[in-house]
Amino acid sequence: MLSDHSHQELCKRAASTPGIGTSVGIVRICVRTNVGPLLTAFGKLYADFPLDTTPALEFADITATLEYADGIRGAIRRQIVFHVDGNQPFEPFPSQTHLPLLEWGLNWTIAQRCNRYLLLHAGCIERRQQGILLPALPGSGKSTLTAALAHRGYRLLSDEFGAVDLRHGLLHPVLRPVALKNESIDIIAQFAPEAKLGPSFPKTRKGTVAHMVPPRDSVLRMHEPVMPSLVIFPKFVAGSEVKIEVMPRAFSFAKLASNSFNYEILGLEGFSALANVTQSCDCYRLTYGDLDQAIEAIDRLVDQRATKRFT
Amino acid sequence: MPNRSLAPAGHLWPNNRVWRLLQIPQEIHASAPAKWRLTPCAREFIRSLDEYVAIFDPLTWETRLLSEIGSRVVLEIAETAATVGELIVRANIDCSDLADGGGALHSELESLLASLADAGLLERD
Repeated sequence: MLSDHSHQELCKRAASTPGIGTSVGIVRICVRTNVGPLLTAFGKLYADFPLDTTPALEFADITATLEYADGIRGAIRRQIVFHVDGNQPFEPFPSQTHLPLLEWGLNWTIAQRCNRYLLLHAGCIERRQQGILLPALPGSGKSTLTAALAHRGYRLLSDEFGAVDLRHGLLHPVLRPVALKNESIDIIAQFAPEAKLGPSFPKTRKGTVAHMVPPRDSVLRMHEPVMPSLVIFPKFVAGSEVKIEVMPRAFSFAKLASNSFNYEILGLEGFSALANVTQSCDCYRLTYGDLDQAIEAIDRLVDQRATKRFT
Repeated sequence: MPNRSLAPAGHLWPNNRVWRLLQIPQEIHASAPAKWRLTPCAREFIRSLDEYVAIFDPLTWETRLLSEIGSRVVLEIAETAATVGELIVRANIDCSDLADGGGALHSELESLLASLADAGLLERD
């Protein structure tokens, strides 16, 4: 685990060729950096993740490098650049947003590359062997709900990616820290005082961002896929009573497809995988204004589905 | 190089779109209405989602979600080959309150089925 290694040791690895290698489920990443504060935050958020000691990290799917920008822009105002396998996909960011840049960069790269899986934009959790997809547009409360569920007995698979195996239809973890934005940070801090939160990064492109450390049990089980059973489209509406409505499968299919990162490039394989997910899952729309009520409603759906499965 | 527009019916270029389109006028002039059926590979591209049907077009890679009536018709064709008239009856589509007695619906269904034939998913007898 990363936490078994000293900060100095991690700094040494991060600054040299091996980098810090770890697995986040279906993807093996390698991070190289000379940005000290990034390493401190990374070490905290990924503390329970395994440290890959393969000598040259030959099998890293993504090698990400974050370093201070050179040149005049870097001299005027310190900036950092994200490189992935030698390419720089984004303009430099202010140096104080190091961790959000790394996390967004990794998300972007996973979405570009992991085409062995149908990648749905969704929070993913599991309980009683029922895989649950929480697909939603930004601002719907997906990450907040996913983070809350991860502290109420649900295994966290991902906050961002529903990675569906094209062959077997299983939902695979892409386990990373949960990115909480603005009010969600305090909401989760109050809702789950045991949740470990990383530093807050104000004034990013998405406002203030802080990351929640994935629960240890979820990290230990990050290579354990699950069959998807429920698709729940959450929508946070302040002051609203919890409301669950059955969502017709055809509409769920269309929403999932339009919310997917790579449906269009997978062709027939993506179509078949998505049709399988939609046919095998019960689909609902959840409107909520209170996390506890939303979780109770999801608990009921899971229990109902688990009972149905075993009868 | 053979002239494809004069190709004999049957076996030389059975999946050629141009060839198939050229055949349609002859079939329209035939006395009995043509029966539509799924092509052997079509089932992989057509999935039912409750009462609706999603279709993956292998040529354009577009996904089409059919209307309820279109879905019923395609599901009926999946059962057995039928003419548009038979499909309307079998799919329980009520044309009694349509102003033209269902003529427009009939031709709309014809063009839907022709577009699926263009994609190689349906064929006419």
